[in-house]
This record gives sequence, C-alpha cells and structure tokens, in this order.
Amino acid sequence: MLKRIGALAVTAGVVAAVVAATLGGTATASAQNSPLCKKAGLGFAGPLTGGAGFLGKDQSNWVKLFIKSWNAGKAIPGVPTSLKRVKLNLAVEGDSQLNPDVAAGVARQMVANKSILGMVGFAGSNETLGGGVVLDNAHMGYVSGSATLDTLATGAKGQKKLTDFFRVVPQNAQQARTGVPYIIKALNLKAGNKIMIVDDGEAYGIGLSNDAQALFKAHKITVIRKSVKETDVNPGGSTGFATDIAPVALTAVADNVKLVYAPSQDAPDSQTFDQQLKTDGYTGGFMATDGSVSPTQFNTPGAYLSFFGPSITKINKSYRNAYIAAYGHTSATDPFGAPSFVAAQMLGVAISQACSAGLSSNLTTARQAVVNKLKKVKQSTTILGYSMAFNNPADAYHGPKSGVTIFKIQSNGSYKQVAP
Amino acid sequence: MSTVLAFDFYNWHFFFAELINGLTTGSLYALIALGYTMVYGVLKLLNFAHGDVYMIGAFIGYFVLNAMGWPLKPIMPLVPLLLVAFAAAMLGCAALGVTIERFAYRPLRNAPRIAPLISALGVSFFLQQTAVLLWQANPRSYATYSFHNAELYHPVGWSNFRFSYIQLLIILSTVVLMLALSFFVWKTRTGKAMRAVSVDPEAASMMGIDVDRVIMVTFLLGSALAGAAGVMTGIAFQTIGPYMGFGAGLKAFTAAVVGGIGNIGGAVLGGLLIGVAETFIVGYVTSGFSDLVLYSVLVLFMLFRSTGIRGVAVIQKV
Repeated sequence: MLKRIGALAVTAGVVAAVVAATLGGTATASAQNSPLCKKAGLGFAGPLTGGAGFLGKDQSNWVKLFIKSWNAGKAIPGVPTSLKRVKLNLAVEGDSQLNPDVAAGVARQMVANKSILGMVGFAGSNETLGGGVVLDNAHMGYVSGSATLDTLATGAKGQKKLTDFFRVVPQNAQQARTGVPYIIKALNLKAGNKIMIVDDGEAYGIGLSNDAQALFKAHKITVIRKSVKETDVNPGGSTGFATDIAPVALTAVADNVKLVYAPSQDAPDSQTFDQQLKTDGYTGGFMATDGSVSPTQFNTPGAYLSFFGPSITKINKSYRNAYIAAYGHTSATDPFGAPSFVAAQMLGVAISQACSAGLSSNLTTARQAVVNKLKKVKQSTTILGYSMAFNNPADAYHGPKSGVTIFKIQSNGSYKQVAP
Repeated sequence: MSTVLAFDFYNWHFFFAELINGLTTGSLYALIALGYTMVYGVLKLLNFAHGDVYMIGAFIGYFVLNAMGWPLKPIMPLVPLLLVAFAAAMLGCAALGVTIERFAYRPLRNAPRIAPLISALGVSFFLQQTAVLLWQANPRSYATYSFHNAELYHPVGWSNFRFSYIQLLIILSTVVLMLALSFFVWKTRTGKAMRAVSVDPEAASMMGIDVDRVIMVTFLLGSALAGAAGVMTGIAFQTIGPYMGFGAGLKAFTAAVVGGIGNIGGAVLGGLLIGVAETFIVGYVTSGFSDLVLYSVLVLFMLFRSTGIRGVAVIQKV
C-alpha cells in the first residue's frame, strides 16, 4: 500500500513538475515569441516640414541613430549589458508641424499602427496638447525630447493632465528658475528696472514667459509684456513677423528696457528680432530660450540663451561623431536633438523590460505594460552626460542639477556656455 | 494677445517709423499684386501659384548672392551685386511663369473656369513641395545684417522721419518697376495688345493679335516682378522658406482686389494700403488679431465698393 502511495506520490510529483514546467515554459515562450517582442515599433512625431522642420529632422535623426546602435548591440551609456534588447523599428515618422490639430491626426496614425508600442515626441508643447489625449486614450507612452510646458504632466485649469506623457528635458519652470536669476545678475538688473517679455502666442512661449515674469516680478523688476506670432504660425510668414515685431522693438527702445526676454520656437525669428532691436538703437540685453538654440540660425553676438540640455561638447563624443558622420556637420554645433536619443532609449529599455516580464498579445494591454515600465526606468547615465529617470508626475528627473544650460553668443556667432 | 493702445498717437517718431515699415511691406505686396492683377486682367484667372513663384524668386536670389560671397565676402560692390541677384531672380521667375502658363493653364484655356483654378492650386502645391524636396523645410537667412556691419539697416533721414537704406531701396524699386510696367502697358505695341486682349480676347484675335503670345508676355512680366519681390523680402526681412509664398500671396491677392483687380495702379495702391493698414493695426491696436481687424475692415469696404478702389463695374450686354 505504502509502495502504491509512494508510486502515486512520485507520479503526482512528476505530473505536477511537468505541468509547472509546461506552464512556466508557456509564459516564457509567449514573452519571447510575441511578434511585438521580436521587433517592436517606435513612432516619432515632430515638425518635419515648416519653419521648425529642421528641429524635427534633427530629433528624428538622433532617434534613428539610437535605433541603429541599439539593434547593432552597440554599447549605449546607461543601458546595462545584461538587458535583453528587443529589436526596434521606426515604424512611423509623423510630421506634426508644431500644429495641435495636425498632431492629433499623427497620434491617430500611431495608435492605428499595430506594431507601435511607444512614441518619441511630440516636439512642441502645443502639439503635445493636441495629440497627447489621443495617445492617452490608447494607453501609449510617449516621451518628448523637447516639450517643456510645465502643465503637460500636471494638468491645469481647463487643461487635462496627460497621463502617458513623459519628457527627458527639464520643464519651463526649471528653465526660468535657472535663466532668470542668471540674467538678472549678468545684466545687473535692479528693482524698478524695466524689462520686456515677448511670448510667441503659443503654449510654449506663453508658459515660459509666465514662469519668467513671476520671477522677474518677485525681484521687483517692471515687466512689459507683449505677444507676437512667430513666422511659422504667422499668416504673413516672415513679412508678417517683421511687421509685428517692428512696433515692439520701437517700444523697447522708447521705454529704455534693460532686457528683452523672448521665448520663441523659431531661431531665425530670434535673429530677426534681436537685429531689429539693434537697428532701432537698442542697447540692452536679449535672452532667448531653448526653441531658438541653433547656432546656424540664431547667432547675433551678445545674446543669451537658456537651453534644456547640455552643450554639444558635453554630449558623448563617440555618439556625437557618429551623428556627424551619418547626418552631416551642420548639426555638429547644435545640441537640440540629442535628448530625443535618450527619449528613444527610455522607451527601448521599457519595451525590453516589459517583454522580459511577458507581454500580452493584446495591443492596449501591451502598450499599458510599457507605460508601467517606463515610469520605473532608471538610467545611471546617458549620452547627455547625466542620469535619467522620471519622477511623479512624469517629468524628467536627473539628480540635483537642473539640466539647464545658459549660453552667450560670441562675436564669431558661436555658443559659449556661461552657466552652470 | 497684447494690445498696444498705450501708444501715444502723437509720438511722431513711432508714427513715421511705422509708416515707413508699412510702405515697405506694402511695396512688396504691391509687386506681387501686380502679377495677380495682370493675369486676371488678361485671362480672368486667379493664379494661386503666383505666391510660390515669389518664393522661388527669393530662393534664386539667396543662392545667387551666396555664390557671390554674400554677405561676408562679396566679390563685387553692393549695387552690381544686387543687380545680378535681381536679374537672376527675375529671369528665373519669368521663365517659370511662362512654363507654368504653357503647361498648366494653356491646355485648359477653353475648359470651364473652375478647371484652371484647380490647376493653379495644384501648381502652387507642386512648387511648394518641390522647394521642400530640393532645399528642405529649413528656413534660410539672407543674413543681410552681416553685410558690411549692417550697413543696409543704418537709419538715414532727419528728426523723427528716419528710414533705412533697405527700406528706401524697396520703396524706390517698387515705384520704378511700376512706372516701367505702366510705360510698357500704355506705350508699347505689346502693351496695347495686352489691353485689347483684356477687353475682348476674341475680337483681339480677329484683329490679328497673337493672344497666346500676349498671355505669355503677361505671365513673364508678372512672374519677373514676383521674383524681384522675393529677393527684396529676403534682403529686408532675411528669413525665407518654402512656405513663405502662401501668406504673402494671400495678402497680395487681397491688395489686388482692394485696388480693383485688373488695374495696375490699383494693385499698387491696394498693396500700399494693405501694408500701411496692417502695420498701423499692429502698432496701434493689436498684434495678436491684426488679420481679424484688417480683414473685417476689408469686408466692410468690399460691401460698399465691390469693384475696389480703381476698378470699374462692367455692364454686360446680353
């Protein structure tokens, strides 16, 4: 009897072991054999045409460089060698044109593509507002390399919080907190001095201007606020922008302002504005922001710029050289697109981790799983020279440094880092 | 969003500066409007591709000037340098205009009126997208400010009435080109033929006028003027790009209608009016909604004078 019980127990044990092994094996096989985990799709959305098209192209090229390096198994700063990389494919490049309506269409295109698990973009804050809601509804994570409006991640009155939005750049408030004290000190601005803030009439410029205005006012500096549509969205194009900016420049001179602070997403507009001011006899300071960082298009000597990333010289040399070799030397001086490499990296790591954990074959569930992983991705370093993780709400967090750089344009048009 | 009502209207420096700014912008609109009005006068066609011909002119000027070392190492003095750039842009655009007429409009000469209109829209997109393909979407800068330490922007004049060389260049060039065009239309045989075709193409044809040739010359002249306007825009406002034609074309078309479409003097007057009105609205009222104010005024104007300032109502005999 005991023998029989023993035999039964052994048989039951074997069966249990086989069942357990089979079930376990099934789970692993489903993770490894899922078509989404064999080659996962990434989307990219940004302006590929229009006045800001060069920025989107730059970002898109950095994403392509990331995917190429990732798929080739090349060492990428921050990515552990033990991570089993899921091959990636840039499935859709969407031209969102910095336009929220167009961005919503691009977002629908991303959602409809059954291979896409996450998206790099949008580039601008305004387009993020337009397209983000569509991606949120599909539970698709999207990581921006340049959208800086504070309230994208938190929501605001009349503006829904974007639940699956992430960014690898510091938000406007952080940029203002770094840029404003710096320029106050650099230009020796005192209580009672007048300055002028000129926003671009869009979510980006208005948000950044509001943040900066509060800080200037806290220093009892008088702020004259103006708003001018930049060339990209101005119905009259460059002629319309020049028409709009002319009276603003005249007012700045007449009011003897000590600084013109002008957040714009259009680098040539910053150039035109600064030059118009000088033509009118303006002798005060000029400060632009991240959207105008382009040494080939905005290079008037003496102007200042705050930027959400590091100087180009701080970007990993090997990848900088690879970028220049692949996409030409014009980008050798322009650091704008590099954070998008890191945005793609965060997605690549999240997708790989989600696949290793077993990814559902249901597309919505799979995308949600990637979002859940994305929230926890931590990279000890990146090609930008610092660590990357997302805090809650999903803003970039990378240690005690703000991540904001201040440049001053030199007499030869080059950008010199003056802070930190 | 910002309102600028705080400006003192009697701040004469501001007033004259804005007036000159308005005349400068208006001159550019006028040059483009001339092309619209001439083509409409002769062919009764709204040539929506005209704004894009202007854009191509701006690019031709940009490449020619850069090939001659502009702005930092110019290989010749300023005047011949600009003349070469203008000549190249005007010739290039003239050739383009003639080509467009020959291949996109002439085959539709006897088609319903809507057909050439659609063809014009198609050509507009064709030119715009081709420019993106060839030269990318990146805006480019003439970098005029870098030329001889911004010499062209130096203010000249006296007291409150000051303007820059570049503004003077644009306003005077427009006047000269308009006078030359008027001379051509009113004092030459081809000009006479153009006027005849604009009144009655069939009758003109029966009188021995080569209507196709007249239409070709009309496109040639209108496009050449658009090319000149493109170079002027680049030199004055620096930034050019493949999408610059649409907005400027729309304003110029409005100028042609306000002036009285089909009328050369009217197109210039309309262009200058639109330019000055737009600038004053931006300067004294609002920058955020200047087009709203401008076009509201224009709608009211057209309700009371639908033929435009210099247009004449034609009585059609049945």
